[in-house]
Amino acid sequence: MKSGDHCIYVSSVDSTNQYVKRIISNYKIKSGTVVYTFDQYEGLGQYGTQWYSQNGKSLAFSMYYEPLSLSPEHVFTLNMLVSNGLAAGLQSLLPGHNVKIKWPNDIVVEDDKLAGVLIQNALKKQVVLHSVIGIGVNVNQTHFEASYSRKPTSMALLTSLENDPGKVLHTLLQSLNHHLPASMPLQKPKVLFEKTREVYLDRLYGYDKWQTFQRSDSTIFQGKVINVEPDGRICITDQEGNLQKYDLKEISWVTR
Amino acid sequence: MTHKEIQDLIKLIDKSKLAEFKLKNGDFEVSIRSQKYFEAKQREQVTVVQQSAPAAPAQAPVSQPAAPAEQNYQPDIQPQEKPKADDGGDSKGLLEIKSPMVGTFYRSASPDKPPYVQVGDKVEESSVVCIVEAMKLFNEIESEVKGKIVKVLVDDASPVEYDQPLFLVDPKG
Repeated sequence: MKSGDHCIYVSSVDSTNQYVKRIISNYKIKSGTVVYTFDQYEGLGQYGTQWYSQNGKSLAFSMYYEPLSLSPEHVFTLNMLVSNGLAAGLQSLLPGHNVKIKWPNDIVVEDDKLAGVLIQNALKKQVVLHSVIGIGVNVNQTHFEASYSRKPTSMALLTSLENDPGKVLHTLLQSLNHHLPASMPLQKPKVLFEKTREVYLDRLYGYDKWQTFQRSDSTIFQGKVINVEPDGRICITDQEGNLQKYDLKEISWVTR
Repeated sequence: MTHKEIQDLIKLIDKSKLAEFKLKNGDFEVSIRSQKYFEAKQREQVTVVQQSAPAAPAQAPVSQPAAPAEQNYQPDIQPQEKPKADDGGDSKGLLEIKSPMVGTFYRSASPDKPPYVQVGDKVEESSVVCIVEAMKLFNEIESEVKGKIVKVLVDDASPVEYDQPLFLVDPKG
């Protein structure tokens, strides 16, 4: 696979992920095929939430990916690979800014959300059959109307320049190509995990810095992110040196 | 290990007196259970008369088509058929659809959408039956069995464990 060898442009679509899923329910397409639009009007966010975009000002694309020998226990590696590729691509477009990955897969600059990832896998018999990797990037928006769980930003707000969303796509696909292997290596999921984690931690928001967190039981504490587990849980140590691993629903950042 | 080698290995074990065989070499792992293993298991279950017995398949793996060669051989090569309970009852001959991972179980694509499947619905092999969300990754679980959904074992939006049964399916339904 090389992502972007096959690109399909749609002028307007509910969601590029849904579009890819509609295609694959009827046709066979090549791994790496990309569907993109600058007008996504019903983008998917996390479960039951929406990803808002503005006509012509944002980029949304989805890649169909067949990760061959990926087993369900290693899907978090795929999440890290995509986050790493996306963050590196955006970083190359935003010199002078610090592009970070906010665990598990938001792309932020300072604390503001620049891009989001939504990966949908199809699983059967302990194997990931295929993935639809959806990515939304705020390119030229200068104001945001809806209320957000996390304050958004855009490339235009950061650089005070209009960007060609097509060129942004091109750069991001190149970067994703560089990070995503054509197929997951057959016998080395642990090696791939270790390698990928190194890049991921290097770009991880708040890594090795004291920050304020809130647990799901509402207790607030000062902690430092020191690692992520193969299953994606985040490892945070508190000021007494106690290390705890948290699932997504068990921990949140207390924003300034 | 090649496809052919694995097939040969399966044949060899089937002819032998072994009930179970495991091989681990670095990241590569294969485990094979023969007819003898399941016969022994069934004997155990008959004496214990247990409802929540582990899903013990009842066939020799020899006749099973081997998985495509490029895959991580997580040896899921046995069908998920439960041994037939001698005491009859509702769970007779039912199959389970299990969670392939730890996560949160969702019955529909989003809260405003209808569930993928309801009790009474027919499922095919490869029908999507639910989502298990883990770390913001959305995993659509496809059924491995064909039949009629007779029971949904987990509430919407609740956590599930690896291998936890999610649905009961009547293959004759």
